[in-house]
Amino acid sequence: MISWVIGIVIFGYAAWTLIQHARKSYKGKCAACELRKYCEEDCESPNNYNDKNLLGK
Amino acid sequence: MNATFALIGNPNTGKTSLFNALTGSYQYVGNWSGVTVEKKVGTLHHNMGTLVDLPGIYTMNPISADEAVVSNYLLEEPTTPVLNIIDTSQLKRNLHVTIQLLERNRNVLLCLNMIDVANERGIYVDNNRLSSLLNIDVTPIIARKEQGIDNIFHGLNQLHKSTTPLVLYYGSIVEKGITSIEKKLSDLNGDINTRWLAIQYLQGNRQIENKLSSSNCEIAKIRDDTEKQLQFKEGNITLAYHIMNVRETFIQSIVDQVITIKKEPKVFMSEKIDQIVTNKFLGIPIFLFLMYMIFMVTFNWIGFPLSDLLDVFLTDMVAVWFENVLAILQVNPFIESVILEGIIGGVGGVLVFTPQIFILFFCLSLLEDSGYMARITVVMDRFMQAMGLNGKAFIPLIIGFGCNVPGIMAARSIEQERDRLITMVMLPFMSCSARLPVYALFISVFFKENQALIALSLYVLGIVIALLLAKILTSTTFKKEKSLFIMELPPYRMPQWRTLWRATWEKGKGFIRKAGTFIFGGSVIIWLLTYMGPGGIDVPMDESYLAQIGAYIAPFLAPLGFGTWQAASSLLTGFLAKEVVVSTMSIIYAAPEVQMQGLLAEYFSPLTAYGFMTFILLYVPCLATVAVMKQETHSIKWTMFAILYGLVMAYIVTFLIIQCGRILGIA
Amino acid sequence: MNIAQLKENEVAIVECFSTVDQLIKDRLMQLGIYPNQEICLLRKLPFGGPCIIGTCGQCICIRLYDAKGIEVKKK
Ligand SMILES: Nc1nc2c(ncn2[C@@H]2O[C@H](COP(=O)(O)OP(=O)(O)OP(=O)(O)O)[C@@H](O)[C@H]2O)c(=O)[nH]1
Ligand SMILES: [Mg+2]
Repeated sequence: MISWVIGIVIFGYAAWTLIQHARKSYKGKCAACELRKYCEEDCESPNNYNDKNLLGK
Repeated sequence: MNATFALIGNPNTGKTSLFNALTGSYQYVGNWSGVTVEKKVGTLHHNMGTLVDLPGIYTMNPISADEAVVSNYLLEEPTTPVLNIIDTSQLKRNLHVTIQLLERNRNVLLCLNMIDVANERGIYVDNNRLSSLLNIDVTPIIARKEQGIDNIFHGLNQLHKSTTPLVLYYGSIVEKGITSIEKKLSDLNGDINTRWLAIQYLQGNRQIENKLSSSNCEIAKIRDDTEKQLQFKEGNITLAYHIMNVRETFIQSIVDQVITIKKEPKVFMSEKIDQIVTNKFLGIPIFLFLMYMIFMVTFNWIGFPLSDLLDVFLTDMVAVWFENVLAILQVNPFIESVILEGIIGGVGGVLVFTPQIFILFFCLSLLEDSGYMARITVVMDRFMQAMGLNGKAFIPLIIGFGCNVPGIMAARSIEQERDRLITMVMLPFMSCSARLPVYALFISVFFKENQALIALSLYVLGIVIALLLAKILTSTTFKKEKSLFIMELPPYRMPQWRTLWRATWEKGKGFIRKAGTFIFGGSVIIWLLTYMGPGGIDVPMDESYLAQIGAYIAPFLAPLGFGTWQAASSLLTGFLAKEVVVSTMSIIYAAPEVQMQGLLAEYFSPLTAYGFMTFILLYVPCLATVAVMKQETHSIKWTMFAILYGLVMAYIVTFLIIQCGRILGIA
Repeated sequence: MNIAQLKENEVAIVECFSTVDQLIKDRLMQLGIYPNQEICLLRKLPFGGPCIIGTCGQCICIRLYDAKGIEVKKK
């Protein structure tokens, strides 16, 4: 019984961490550096400033 | 309250230091211009709303990509109140940004930072006078000591009253230009101050040119006419220079009224250090020596002994404790095995190298916070010029030793797109801290005597391969443009223990977090793959799924000297993250009696071990690096190129090392 | 005469930019180096390496090529 509980916890957690890791990586967030934590909003690269036009035309 | 405030000011004036003090967060602080390269959002203390930290700017016309972030922000958030930080010891230069902000609107709180530095130089500023001259609130602070922070909260509370923006008179010709442009912009909806927009446009602000592209022809013509008239009257000067000059005159009149200089300038500490560090002949040797010292400390002197202690602690105490607990709980053998071999083996195998990681991060923080970073760019520029790049590229590269992701971001502060792109493509070859456990493991087995030297050689090899790439690119694709270099050298600052500790801890913590998350997950899965095989469960390791997968790839690695399934599958797991290579090896090479170190020595020789480390160094960037590279280069082509170049170089270089070694008779 | 011809620790006044690259020129202006400003050549690195110049208590490093493009007159 206890084996089952431990087993489920371990494998469940393992799967979750790996999915999280893949998701974060695709966003270009390094798992280690919390450096980008505060940038919850758009961290768009500045090059695309040409895209938008202020006058909306 | 849900107000938002933005931090604006010159580079390296302490914006992020203040951000950290006001929000209690920890963002990257360093003593050079261009540390912050993107927008960061934090929550202010006392429920005052949110604060936005931005890169530094000298004027609102952006040159580099990080400055473009600020100009963009100012355009998109025309009403956000601004906290303008100023380096008091450089008042005149800093006020240019203030004037431009005030021309936009007067929702500005002026913070005179670095009062301590200014006073030391004998510069004293009359706050009240400055406040009444500019008609805004002024608070003196010392951000790094968190002095005067309360006044800022007080000042922010008062900010919302909006008064008329500052109006400077630019002379009749320019004023006429401004008015006609303003008319053209009258259909512009929103709260943007059109006069400010017009002045910025006349001054040649690229960002604003882009934004106004639809009515470009008409206003471009106005600008040309204005410039021509101006040149007709005043001689050969540009419009931008004229506008700057008007501001300069205004600033000078303010500065004359508010500044008192009490001491004659003397030779400062900074200058004395610079005489040695950027010495004509000693500059580069000192840099190399410092790098060598970093590796001596990280590996030989402190790192290795500590990591040995940790190893003993993990195997003798933690593992034994778990064994006992599991025995009491009477779990089945499967669970016992996953915990003892998979988790403790895999995660513990990586965790033992925590000391090295922390020490390396500490040394890097020391470089970053002291001001030496900017000097590295100076001493290395001549060499980088020969490579077709500029010395500034060294800043992202050195940051990349910690982690490639912020390294690629840091390249934003390089002014030219060309140099920036090349630097980003070079970055994956900077040996990041994730690769360090692999070196630490092999070095502790095969190269006990020369740990620092071997580690240093790998880091240098990474740089050499990256420079080779730079040289190839700058003499082919990017041949037409030449690189440029200009760098501001900040005064040295004594790093504070608190900052150093925070910086080291914040980065080192990430390593421990990784161990608890996906290194854990990876270890469990890898263990499962070694436990199961086509023949069922609990199969001998050589018949496991992992062995089978590895065996497919092993033949390709045979010419490199490590054509075993073990090496092959370790490398495969490294695609996920480099640290997992160590977990995999700890799981695969774990045997009941002998230590992993002993088994490793059976499968590798010092030569193939070095080859393996080289391969790990070069073969593939981690997923996160690939993702930011794509985001920052806006180019799948360049991203793919970087990956392929790495893979090819890894194979060639490792092959050469192994074959040359064999010819030379090294086992 | 240009900046590169100054001796170390010699002070001079900037007259004009001649062959300086536009981007560098923009940056120099932003950093407070433009005509009529006082500057001091602090150091020249060997093998045609960069020059460190000082103005108003700040240090700026530029390449030799650009230093040669900044005309100055001695005080
Ligand atoms: N002496 C002194 N040093 C300070 C003060 N405030 C900040 N510093 C130091 O100045 C350096 C720059 O600080 P940052 O907060 O990174 O500056 P920043 O404005 O965010 O810089 P960028 O992001 O590059 O634009 C760091 O080394 C700080 O420790 C201060 O009030 N006095
Ligand atoms: Mg900053």
